[in-house]
Amino acid sequence: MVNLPVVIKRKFANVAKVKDVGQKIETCMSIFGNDMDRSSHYNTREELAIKSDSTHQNLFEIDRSIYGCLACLPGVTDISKMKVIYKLLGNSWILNPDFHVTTPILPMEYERKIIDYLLSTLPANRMFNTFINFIDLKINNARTRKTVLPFILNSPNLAWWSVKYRSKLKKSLSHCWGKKMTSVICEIMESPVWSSKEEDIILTNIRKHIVDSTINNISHIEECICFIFSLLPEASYTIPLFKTFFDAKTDFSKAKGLPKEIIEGIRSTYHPTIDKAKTLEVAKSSMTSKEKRLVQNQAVKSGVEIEWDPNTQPLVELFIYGFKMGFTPEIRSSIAWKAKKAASLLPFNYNCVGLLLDDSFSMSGSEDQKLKALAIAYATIEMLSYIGTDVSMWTTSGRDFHYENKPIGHSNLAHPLIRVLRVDRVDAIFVVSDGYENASEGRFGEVLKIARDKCKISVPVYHFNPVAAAESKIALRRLAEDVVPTPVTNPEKMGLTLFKTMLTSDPKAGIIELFKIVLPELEKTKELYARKIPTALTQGGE
Amino acid sequence: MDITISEVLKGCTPGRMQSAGYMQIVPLISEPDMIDKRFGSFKGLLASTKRTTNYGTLYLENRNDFPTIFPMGVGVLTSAVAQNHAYGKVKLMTKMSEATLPNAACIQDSQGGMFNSNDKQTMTILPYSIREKALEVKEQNEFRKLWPAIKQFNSDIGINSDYRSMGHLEYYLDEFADRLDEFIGQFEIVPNQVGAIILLNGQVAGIERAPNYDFWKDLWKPLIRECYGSASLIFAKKGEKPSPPLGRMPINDFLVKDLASLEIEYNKAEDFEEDTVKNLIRNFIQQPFVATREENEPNGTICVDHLSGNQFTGQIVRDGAFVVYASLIPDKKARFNTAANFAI
Repeated sequence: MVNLPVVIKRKFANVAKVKDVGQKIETCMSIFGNDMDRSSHYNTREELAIKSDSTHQNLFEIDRSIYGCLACLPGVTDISKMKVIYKLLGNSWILNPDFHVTTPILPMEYERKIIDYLLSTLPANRMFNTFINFIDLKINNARTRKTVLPFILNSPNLAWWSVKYRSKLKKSLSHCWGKKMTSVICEIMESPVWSSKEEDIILTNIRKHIVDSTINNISHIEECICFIFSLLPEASYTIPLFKTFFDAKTDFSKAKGLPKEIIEGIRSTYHPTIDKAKTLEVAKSSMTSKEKRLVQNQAVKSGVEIEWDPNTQPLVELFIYGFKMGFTPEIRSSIAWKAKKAASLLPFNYNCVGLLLDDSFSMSGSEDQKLKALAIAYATIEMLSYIGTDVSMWTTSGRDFHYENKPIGHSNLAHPLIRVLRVDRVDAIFVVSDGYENASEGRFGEVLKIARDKCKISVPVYHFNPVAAAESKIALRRLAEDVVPTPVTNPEKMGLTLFKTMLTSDPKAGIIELFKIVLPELEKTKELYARKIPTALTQGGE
Repeated sequence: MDITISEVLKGCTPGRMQSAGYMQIVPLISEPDMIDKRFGSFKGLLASTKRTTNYGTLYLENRNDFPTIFPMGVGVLTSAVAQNHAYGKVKLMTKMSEATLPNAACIQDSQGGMFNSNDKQTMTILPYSIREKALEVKEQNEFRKLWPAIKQFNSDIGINSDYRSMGHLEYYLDEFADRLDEFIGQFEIVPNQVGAIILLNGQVAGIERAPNYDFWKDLWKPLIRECYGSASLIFAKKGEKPSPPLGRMPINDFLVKDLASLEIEYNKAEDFEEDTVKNLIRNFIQQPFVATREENEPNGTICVDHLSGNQFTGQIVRDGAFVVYASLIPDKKARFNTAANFAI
């Protein structure tokens, strides 16, 4: 049994500067929340990659369990999750006699759970990119194979993936099996009758990793492998999706049910005379919610009606959709539902909350992501409006808050601050602003300081800065000495941001809290293969 | 014919001053019936040097069904392997018209080649000091006339030393792109804005007016980011501390006892700042300019005038008495003429 508080206390007992550990964790969390593998305002992509790699390495060296668990918090970018997976799988698990310093806090089987959890939260294309990147990174150990093969083979989406990500799957499987073994497996699969030696090869490389070993399931998975590697004649396939794939090449109307990109590929290759708009009509039944939302504009133009469920979409994306297509009652209700749900996950619970929205012209965002910054700002305000029972909201433009409002005018944050401060019994003030105050520069900080010094106002003030992406061209600006700006890219996933604040003040308590948040989530990850009974963990005192 | 700044800005009211770092902007807001919507965007103008076959001659084409104004001190940057060009003056472009501008200048000294109107083009407003020079030498027919000014500017602003000795404007735009983005991010267009009075470190550095809000929106980025932004960056390079914004009045915290009195003192400080700006504008708006006609609209009433005055110089476009476009900057020579003689 592992008693987490005791292990954590022992592990960090000899570390002279626990605060340093907290700072390293904090730096790593900033990278986790922002790494998009793109260049930024100040650095090239390569420079950022070097910085990111060294930050990952620093935390990994402190403790690979903390490192892995941090990546499981909401708000971590997909790129960061991928890098954590590379790091965990690329470095072998060596137990060191120097228990206090180098042995990870969690037992090894939990690391597998962390990796499974991270993979399961990646979109399919990113997951396959992760597998393919193992090739370049030369990661192909037993742990990797035991991660990749069960993930692919046990997926209920395997047939769909086989069509949509055929070449990525081919590369991923080939890497796991190795070139020589792949050609052996392909040869065996092509043949209708297998020797006992061939049976053993298939058992070791495929069937051993399959959880549901019913004959039907095994033959389904093996047919998918045949499709991925093009091993059988077209007429031999029995899985309906594969039959559809081959039929659509001769009759486009039969393409219904295939992924949208595949339908478009078949249309342009085999049916170039058919109008492109027809792709939407045929693909609408098989599109994901995200795809359906993204093609709404195109669908309206093409006269095709595509239904989608707004409740499945991120809050920020609902605002972007609303800006483009209008805020229907359905969209408004989804926004309210999602905002309320996101607010319930925040560690804030106030009676009276003051909200200050900067809706000045500069909140329009950058040219390349014009609506994004505004959507993040509105989504954040909408969510924050649910964290108190009583809410008082002010805007820099003096307008009432409406989703349809476009940013306008100069940034006078000081006057609305006074108005919010004058609200009776306000427990906390949240400012959503890009931090550019020009009417006049510095007045917000001046007003807040006088309010604190002369009027003895101690109400906490939080500043959330909507960042359209990690490539934001503008560094975060401080509005006042004692108000730290917090970047927000996705208000629904502010766990990482808020946890950062906790860690800065008390690293040990923060780490215990980290495990309390993450471990129950890991348990929810679907079991993909039989494991030993994991080591029991307790989170009680010594 | 004489004209005053008051007449140049007729139909505008000053808005709330915006202030950040070395620069302050007083927005000029148009009264609703004083907006001239006839003029469309200058961004649709097509420029070429290939049609002229001469360095230093720019050919402009307006294929739109509306008139527009080629603003004062525009630089045309092309992605083609060709010499970028600039023009120091204002050019009125009537609808569906074309014009040859013989006194343009090359702004890329070691680059040969002519560009075509269908090559990808970007229009910038020249950096502050180069624009000033371009206006001063507007009538000189010499394509190299801006190279010394560009070299001086590149040195002043701190371009990478490898490029400092070259009269290339694009190095500034490339090397300082991020800082200029951050600079423009501090200022905002306000509703119905058609112009601005721009102050640099407490001194009026320019008076700009556009025919309408959409024209101003198009002019905003090249003018504030690339032109006035350059002057702000040079101040920063020199390491001078920004002067407190003109009229900046701290809140009198001695009189603050509670939030109600804080609001009163805040309002007093704000009112003081507002009055200071108004006084500043009042001080120079009656100064007269001598207007010299530069161009008349063929068969029309619109014209371009060059203005010279005690402190400012620049160009305006007007339709009769109504000024639709103005760009005025401090006149170095005029400042020298009116300066007090040396005395101890």
